[in-house]
Amino acid sequence: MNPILRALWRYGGMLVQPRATAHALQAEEGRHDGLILGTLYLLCVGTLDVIRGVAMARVTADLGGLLMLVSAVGRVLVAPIVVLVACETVLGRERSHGRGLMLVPLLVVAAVAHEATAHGLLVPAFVPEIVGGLLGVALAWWVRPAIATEEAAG
Amino acid sequence: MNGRSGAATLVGMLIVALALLGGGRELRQGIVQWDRLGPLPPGNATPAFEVLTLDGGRFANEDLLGKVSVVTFWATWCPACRSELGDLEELQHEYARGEVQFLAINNEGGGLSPRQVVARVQGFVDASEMTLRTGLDDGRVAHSFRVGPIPHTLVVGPDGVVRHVHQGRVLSATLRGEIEALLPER
Repeated sequence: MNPILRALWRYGGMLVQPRATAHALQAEEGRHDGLILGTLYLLCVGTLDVIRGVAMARVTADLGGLLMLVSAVGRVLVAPIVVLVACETVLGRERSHGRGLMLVPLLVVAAVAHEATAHGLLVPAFVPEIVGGLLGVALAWWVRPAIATEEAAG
Repeated sequence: MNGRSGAATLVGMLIVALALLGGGRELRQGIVQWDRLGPLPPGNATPAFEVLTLDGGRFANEDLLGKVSVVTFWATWCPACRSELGDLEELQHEYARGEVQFLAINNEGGGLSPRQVVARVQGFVDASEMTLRTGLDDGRVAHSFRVGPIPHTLVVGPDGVVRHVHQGRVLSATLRGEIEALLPER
């Protein structure tokens, strides 16, 4: 299967048939899923914050402005980083190569909440991040037995 | 590709499309609002404003004319602001002949009543023996200056035009250099 279609299959599979998808993962497959899903999350919910940070840095043109830009990116990335660490803890070191996929629920919940907000629905602050993060950790716990250990996969 | 696998791929496509849709919307919003996203940039006249000062007076944008002015937005709960206020206090002593004026506009936020804000700011001023002229803002002045994170400090020329903008803690050496460049040769 084409690598892009295979990646889309992994992301969708985490929602459609999580254990079967995790079980079917090949060795080394999806090593960069955390990076890809984290970047999609940043694009989805943090683009405006990053643009705002760039606008600030452009006006101040100093180290303070640059720090504000870094801080804007950092604030957005806190949620996926915390979820990744929590999922790695749940999966354990030997299965940690599958942690990136556990960002799928966070991305979906955040993206849906973002769309809802854009259409005028009031979504309380941090609720999408909390719900998405908890779902990600629950998913990690659920698929853990189906993920091959690094030793077995390698 | 069996049926379930196809469904998973389709759901994966929807997830990525949803994320890109959100990103695209934010990008469009950012491009449309680009000029208003950052703080008031140098080269612009200060917006019309008026604040009540802690000593019972008023300070308006007309009061900025004729002198080099350093205006900072701060709050008592902001450690970087408190640190910067100490530097501004020292600079005020350096320029004691009145060629430079300093205004510290407090924007306490937090849903406090005006009376609570005055009490809190007065308590801070007394405890820190601050002599900087202190304005009290309910958020409207900060909004007109498009203040984001604080401390937010502006150096304004004698013509009322913003010359320098700093977000976050600024070093007194930087401010001194900017003030000196605006003062007539001594």
